[in-house]
Amino acid sequence: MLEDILAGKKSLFADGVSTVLRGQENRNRRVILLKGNLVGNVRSESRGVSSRVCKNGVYGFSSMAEYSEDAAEAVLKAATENAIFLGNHTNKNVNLRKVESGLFVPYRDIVDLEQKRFIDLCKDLDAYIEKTYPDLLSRTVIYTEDSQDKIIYTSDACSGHVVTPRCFIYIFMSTESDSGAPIELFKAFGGRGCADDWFKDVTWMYPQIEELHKHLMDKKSGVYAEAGYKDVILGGSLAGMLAHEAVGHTVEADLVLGGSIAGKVLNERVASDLVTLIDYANVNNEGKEAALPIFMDDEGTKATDAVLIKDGILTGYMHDRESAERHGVEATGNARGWSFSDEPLIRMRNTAVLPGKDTLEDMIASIDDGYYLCETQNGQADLTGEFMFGICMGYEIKKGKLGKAILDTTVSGIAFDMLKTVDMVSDKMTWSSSGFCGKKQMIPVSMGGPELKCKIMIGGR
Amino acid sequence: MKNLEELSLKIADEFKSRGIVKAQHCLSSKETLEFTLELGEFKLLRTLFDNGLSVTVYDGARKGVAAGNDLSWDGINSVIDSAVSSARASDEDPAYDFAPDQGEHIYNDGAPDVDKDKFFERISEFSKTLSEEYPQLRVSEFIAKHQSFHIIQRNTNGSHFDKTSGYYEIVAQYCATGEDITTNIDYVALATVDLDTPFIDQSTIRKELDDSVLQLKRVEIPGKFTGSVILKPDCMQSFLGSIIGNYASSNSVLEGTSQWLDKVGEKVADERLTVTFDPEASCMINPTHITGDDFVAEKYSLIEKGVFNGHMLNLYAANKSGRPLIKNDGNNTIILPGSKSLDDIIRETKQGLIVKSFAGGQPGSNGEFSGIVKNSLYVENGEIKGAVTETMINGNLGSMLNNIRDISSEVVYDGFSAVPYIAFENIVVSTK
Repeated sequence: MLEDILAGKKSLFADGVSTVLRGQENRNRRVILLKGNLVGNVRSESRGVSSRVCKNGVYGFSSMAEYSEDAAEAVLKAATENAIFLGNHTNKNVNLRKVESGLFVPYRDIVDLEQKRFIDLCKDLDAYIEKTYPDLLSRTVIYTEDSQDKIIYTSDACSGHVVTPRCFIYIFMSTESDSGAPIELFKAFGGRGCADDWFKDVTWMYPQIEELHKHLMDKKSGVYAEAGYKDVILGGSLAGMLAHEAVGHTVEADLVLGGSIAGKVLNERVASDLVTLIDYANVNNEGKEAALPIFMDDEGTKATDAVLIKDGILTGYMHDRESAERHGVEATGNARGWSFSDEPLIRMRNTAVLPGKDTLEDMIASIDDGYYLCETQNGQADLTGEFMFGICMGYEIKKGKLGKAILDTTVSGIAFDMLKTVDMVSDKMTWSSSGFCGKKQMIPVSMGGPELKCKIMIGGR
Repeated sequence: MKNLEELSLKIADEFKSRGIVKAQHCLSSKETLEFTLELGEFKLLRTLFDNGLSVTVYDGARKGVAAGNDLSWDGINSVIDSAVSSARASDEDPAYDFAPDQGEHIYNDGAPDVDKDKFFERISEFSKTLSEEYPQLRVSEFIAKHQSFHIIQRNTNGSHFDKTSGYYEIVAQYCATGEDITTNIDYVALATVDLDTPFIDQSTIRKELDDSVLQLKRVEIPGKFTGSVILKPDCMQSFLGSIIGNYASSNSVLEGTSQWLDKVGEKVADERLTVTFDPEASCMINPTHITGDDFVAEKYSLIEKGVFNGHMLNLYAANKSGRPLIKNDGNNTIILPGSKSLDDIIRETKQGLIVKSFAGGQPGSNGEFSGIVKNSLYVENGEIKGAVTETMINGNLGSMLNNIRDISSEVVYDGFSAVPYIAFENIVVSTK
């Protein structure tokens, strides 16, 4: 872990401004096996120190790729000068929301293993897949770790040392469809923690690998979805993607300022009353530690849950200190930066639609002609609430029963229109935390949801 | 600031003293000056200093890679240690290799030294012009930055590359707002070394801003149809990336999923299409001179008058597959223009879209794509009718290339590429 060399620099914080000094290390480990060939074998660390100074609502920021006391002093000086320079060219006069102060201490470490452990882990899994599923055209096994270690000192908020280890194994399988075209599916395993937390014994992955293979085989004889506006059941991971893309981005307060549709409908109905959507800080809806627990953000704000939609009513946004002050609400601790040289931006954490009371079986039985969309590989959203996500696994529903698998397609819609069509919500939750969100900088995010029955626009032939 | 050349020589000596006979290393330093404006007001000024070191060590037929940004001698040794241990843990694979001695090459590109005052002037001017001439545009974020780079690469085969470069880059993100209408997020972007010309007069910035205002006039399109799609250059590049990824990349050959495995030397596209990657083209402000395998990059035409010249294989994929190596990583794209103006292409469009952005994720290995079009205009009987919303397009990448209707005579230069507008037929367009 990082050694704390920054505590003594608080005395250098300038008067009359809000200062954050952050030391950070990002650690990456990556192994890629493609059809048994080791095509990726990388270890990297990126470490440095940055400072952000806020004066009357303008910010100066500076960073150096050096974790030292000298570098800390240099970035403090440069950030202050930058804020003063900018302040001379603007009439902006915005304060930051007052937040409580306190000290966070890390409660776990990042355990680093030798690269050989990761290679052997991937090779064992690869050998299992090769032996068990000889009908594959190709297989890829990827081990990836992206851990963060941050020490933060602030002039007027919390300070602390936060450590976020994460690791995943991705399994990709491809085969040929009945018409001879390649088709592919993947699954991610893992989450918060180090390799030994998840992958000391990998037999727990086997049933899910089997399911992945089954879906791929179903997709071999897949059909194209029919384009149009359809009744669908969104699988749990899709509901999570919906929570993140379709709603989450529109209610990030900086995008609300930029013209998001959510800026016009606060306290209004934006979804059916079956829909409640929360961006969790560190404990999820079941009272367990969230997949990506954030206790303190990169402004030193203690992280709290942001209730975004309650029983269909838009109740709030996600904030940093400045946007919270503009809106007259408490800051929620959503400001995060990816690397030491990234300024904190409003980012989602663990964004989820809450489960309901229906069963998946009843939901399928209720659809005469539609789709059960199970898995997604990506998504995007817009200020207007228009969203899209890619569907890599799904099935037709005909007369209340599952039919053929469908080939890759895309769904889209306007979030606050689509959510009003939700008329059934399942009682099971699916969380996924292997995703990254891009918004000037990449950042890890987690998302979750139950199955949702709704109407949506689907692309197809 | 670290002296990268000194450090590089020291690293080469360290390899020798450790008995490492085959290795590559790359040292870099980067300085960034970045301004961010929010709704026309200055908000953030960042000054960033970053370093990088990546080391690839070969232990016999084993290979390991490590990277870091701590350029103290302890930090550098730590990276070398990691690369050595990764290599020792690796499998043996005789396909691991890098280029033979390429000699010494020194490159100076773009504008490495920032003119802060003039840059600030142009930024302020651009922001003012936007607010005065485009009041309908709500500019949520305008980021303007200058980056300068110094990169030194050496390897144990004797190659030595030294590159100094820099450029200015602006991205303005906005939506158009009218009575009860807010459009999709839209943007204009530019990479340039020219501070003598106002940003708004460079490249197609003004045209894109004009098109963004057109987004306020919305039209309903008739359900589902099969028609024409004119891809703007930015969007075309995105599709090209998918085409390469699916059909022509190293991975697609190694996985066996490329549907062009047996099509080398055959026609895969309309004969008017030529796609070339040329690092020495004069329009490139930050060319990629060296490949990931440490070859001096050579000009390569992926598709030449519709004929596929071969997959873009790196050395590993070439050694593994027995197919030819291509000394080009697929940067600095040039698509040859056609003979018809964009206006004429639009005039000859019976029913279709002009597409600026496509949100559809990565197409499947079979080339099938579907997704929503954004900041796009509907054309009917040769006239632009207005902007579309909630509209999807579906098709197949491979089929698209054989359904090119026209390629524009106009080319858009964005500092990293030169790409025209291309009209494709037989694309399925659907809406709610």
